Amino acid sequence: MTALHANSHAANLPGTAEGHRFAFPPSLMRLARGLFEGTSDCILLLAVRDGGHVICQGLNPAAERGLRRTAAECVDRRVGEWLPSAEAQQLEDRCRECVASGRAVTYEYERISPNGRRSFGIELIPVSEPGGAVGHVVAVARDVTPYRQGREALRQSEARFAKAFHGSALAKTITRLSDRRLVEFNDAWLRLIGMPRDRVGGRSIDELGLWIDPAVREEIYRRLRAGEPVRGEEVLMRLPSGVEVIGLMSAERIELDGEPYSLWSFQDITDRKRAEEEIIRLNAELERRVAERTAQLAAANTELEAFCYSVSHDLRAPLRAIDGFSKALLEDCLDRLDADGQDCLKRVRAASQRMGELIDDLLTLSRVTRAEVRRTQVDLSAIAAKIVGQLRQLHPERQVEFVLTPGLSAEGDPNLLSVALENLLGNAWKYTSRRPQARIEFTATVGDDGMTYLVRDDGAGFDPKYAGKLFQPFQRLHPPHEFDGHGIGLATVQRIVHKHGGRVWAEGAVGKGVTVYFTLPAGLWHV
Amino acid sequence: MDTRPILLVEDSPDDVALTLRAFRKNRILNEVVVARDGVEALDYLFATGPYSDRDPTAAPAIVLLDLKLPRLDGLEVLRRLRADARTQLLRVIVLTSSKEETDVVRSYTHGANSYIRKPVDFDSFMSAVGQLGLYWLLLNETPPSGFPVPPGIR
Repeated sequence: MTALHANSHAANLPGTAEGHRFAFPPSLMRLARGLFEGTSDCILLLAVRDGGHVICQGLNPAAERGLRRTAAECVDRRVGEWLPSAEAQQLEDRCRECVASGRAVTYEYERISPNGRRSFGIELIPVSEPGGAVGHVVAVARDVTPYRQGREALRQSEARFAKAFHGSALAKTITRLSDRRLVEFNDAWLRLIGMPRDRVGGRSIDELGLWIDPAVREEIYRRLRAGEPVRGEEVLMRLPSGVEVIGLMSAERIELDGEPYSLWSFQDITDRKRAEEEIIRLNAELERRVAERTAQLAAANTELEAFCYSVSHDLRAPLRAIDGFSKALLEDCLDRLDADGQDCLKRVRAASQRMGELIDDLLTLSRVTRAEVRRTQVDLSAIAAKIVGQLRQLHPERQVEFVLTPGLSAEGDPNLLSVALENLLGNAWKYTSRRPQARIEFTATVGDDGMTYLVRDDGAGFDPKYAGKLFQPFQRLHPPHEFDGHGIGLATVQRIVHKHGGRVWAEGAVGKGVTVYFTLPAGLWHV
Repeated sequence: MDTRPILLVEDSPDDVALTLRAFRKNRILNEVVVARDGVEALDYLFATGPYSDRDPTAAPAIVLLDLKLPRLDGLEVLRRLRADARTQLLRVIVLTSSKEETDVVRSYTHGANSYIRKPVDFDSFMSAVGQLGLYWLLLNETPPSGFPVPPGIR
């Protein structure tokens, strides 16, 4: 016997065998042949022999392709000869079952093919022999892999949804849109509303009275009916316990078995909301306090300015009178004053003038303290050169070697930095005045934290024991008969450097000169 | 030499005495009219109040103006003088204790011709007054009286 698709075996087609029941008209025969040869299902004609052997009597082209066997390899042979043994065993068992029962048998099996794991659905149809006994089986095998995969994907998707729904920390419910009956809800939702599962199942969600404002609820339902999803809307709910909570509500319309439902999720953000409100309240409080402090500071500044103004004006006027009238006495009544009297008046004048200078120094210090730092690039070397030039003009008799590193610049306020350098170089000039040949230096070193500028002299120096007093206002380390001054210069320098965010310190020893160091952020050295 | 009177606007009697002394020592022999506050100064200059029988067109040679004054302060006096056509060319020298930058700047923006700070040291004060007299009474050219002010110059 050869393959059934050969014309010579047309008589073996099921249902046509000798035409026991009825004769197929030729047109139907053609149809059957076309179906047999053209279908993508695998069709096998099998005969169950005595002893249960199953012999292949024919197969269609789809089966040849599917099994990767030719008809010659299969026909008139037991299926076990050309099918994998497990598969053959199953096929034979089922064929016997089919023949014995005279009913169709369906089953599935999986086969590992070069295209991967494939699933096949097999249908065995019994064919009656002449005389009524069943001895033949038509086997139709179909690759059901895509169907199986789709079914599996759906199952997994459902499992994922169930997991996402029931395992979610967000409260989730599904209600029917028509009557708002609860059909599904998760544990998080039960925990939120604080009721046991059996007391809420099947009830309408509206009966629970969760919405504080039903108008909001109706608006959301309106949107859902229109197919518009609701995403993270902030809503207010009252739980059955009476506690009010704020949450983010999301909802969307879904179809279940062709009926519209709504899937809800609710995230309780009451705590977060309260924390936010607390932060807002604290911020407002902080701002209020800052404003208050700022106002106090502004008031203090205004007061300080008024005070300085008053000092500048009113404190000096009496001094002027003391000095002026002492001078008048010295001029007009000289003949009536003896040497002691004149000396007294001279001391009165000296003291009042000195007090005038002290007042001026105080004002300078206060002005420096109040001054606003207007930052720009400042050429410190140029300023230092100018200051030393002025000092030389004032004291042309002095022999001073001035060593200057050119191109030292810094970012800062030109006026304030000038005042600082005037004080530093002025000090160096003053405290070297007893040396016949003095040396003053302005230079800088580069350290880890940028530039360190320094003004060095070889003058009288100071006792390092008192270094702490150096930068305090009105603290002097030298008696006035040695060097005049009011002890305000370094205090001024320190305030200026601090205002720029820098540091200032000094090194020295008695008779060994002084080096004052200072830093300014963003110091540069342009060569 | 400008021999018209000098108006000294000063509330401190001590400062008045010292200023007069400084004038004398510097041989500035102009008559000195003292106004003890801003209101008095304006009364004198505009010939009002106690000075209503004064000839308002007889302007002083210079006005020495303190800033801190009772009733009406120096800056306000200056502002009113510059706002009036009769006195807008008057030479006003601010003579004060303050060397606050704001005072200096505001005095000049209000139209002061000069700003002199009274030093504590009487010798310095004397020399300042002497230079002031030399400059403003002797060297400086006065605008002719009744000089028409072109529009836009104020």
